[in-house]
Amino acid sequence: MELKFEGLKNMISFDGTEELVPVLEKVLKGWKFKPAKNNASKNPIIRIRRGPTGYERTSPWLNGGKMVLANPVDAVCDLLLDIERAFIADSGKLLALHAAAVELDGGLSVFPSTHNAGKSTLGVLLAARGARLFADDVTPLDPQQGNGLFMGVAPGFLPRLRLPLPDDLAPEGADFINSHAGPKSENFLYINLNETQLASLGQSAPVNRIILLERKKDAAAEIITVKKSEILKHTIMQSLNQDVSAIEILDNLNGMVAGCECLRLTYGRSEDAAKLLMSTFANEK
Amino acid sequence: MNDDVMQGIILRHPQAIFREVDEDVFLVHPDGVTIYNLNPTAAAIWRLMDQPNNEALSGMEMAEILSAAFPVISLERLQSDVKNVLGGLVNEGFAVKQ
Repeated sequence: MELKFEGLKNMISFDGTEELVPVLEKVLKGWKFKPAKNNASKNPIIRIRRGPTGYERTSPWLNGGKMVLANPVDAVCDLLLDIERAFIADSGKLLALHAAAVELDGGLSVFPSTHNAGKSTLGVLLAARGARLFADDVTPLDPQQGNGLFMGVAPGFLPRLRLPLPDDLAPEGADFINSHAGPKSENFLYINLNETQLASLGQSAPVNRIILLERKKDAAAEIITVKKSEILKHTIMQSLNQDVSAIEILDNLNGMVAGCECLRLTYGRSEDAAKLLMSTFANEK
Repeated sequence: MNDDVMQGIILRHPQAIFREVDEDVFLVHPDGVTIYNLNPTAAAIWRLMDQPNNEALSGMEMAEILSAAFPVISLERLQSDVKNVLGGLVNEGFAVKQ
């Protein structure tokens, strides 16, 4: 079976792996796809076939190799990386940042990935408190033709938490996660969010804040201002575009950082971080 | 190499592009692919390299200028810093010996 996704130039081929499609449907928000009329596509951009040890995926982004995953949720989870890469590449203009993005005050707060920062959990807890999550792992960015305004674009994926969940989750957070549990594997749990909690594919909002996350055991949640050069350094390290020149990446990210509030959030418990962010930027009492 | 770096003239590679943000400098390698970040000390040395060719400074001269600007830091320490930075810039392809 080949599926044609609206917004992607090429098909995705499911060769004996059609059972992945219902899982895919559950984790996508705003995507439209349908079976291709004839299996006549010469070059599907992404192929998933059943192999002896699991679901084997090939794509232009796997450098001639293949990704093999036994569990269907894990296979879909990894497939989304390539779907997002295709979406960004086919746009001809989007940049990609390894970062979460949450709409707090009409604008997007972007959280570049840092080791063990818990950005996905934080994103879900913010959604539980009324914020709108745009992305929990990779955020597409639209430079808006260089006029200094950067828009974050929602990729339309449910957020995915790594298992096991943090053992210091407060009861409210744990209850929200458990009551919104979606597709699950040993490694990951998708969280079902509705349209007010999660932006659909293509929805956009201006990036107005970039926040580095620093998780420290038992630390009280605190937000401080940091230099733009520090933020720029981190965003360059989390830039994922492989087909964009270094100077274009540097100038685009420098332009985005120049127009943003640049902050660091230090915290011990994710709930404390979510509460501080909402009270500081989203007028939560 | 180290004596050359300090006694001779090291120039910015003509195809190295850079941007200044706060006290830092972000360098784009002549290969067009890699981005390097210079901390404030290395950035200061990079800025000192911005002289017309006939007025370019040697590493020793740069260390003396920095010593006047930062009298609390020993000249020997600054010479070591300049030597390391200039050597690194040459090794990584951002600078060339005159």
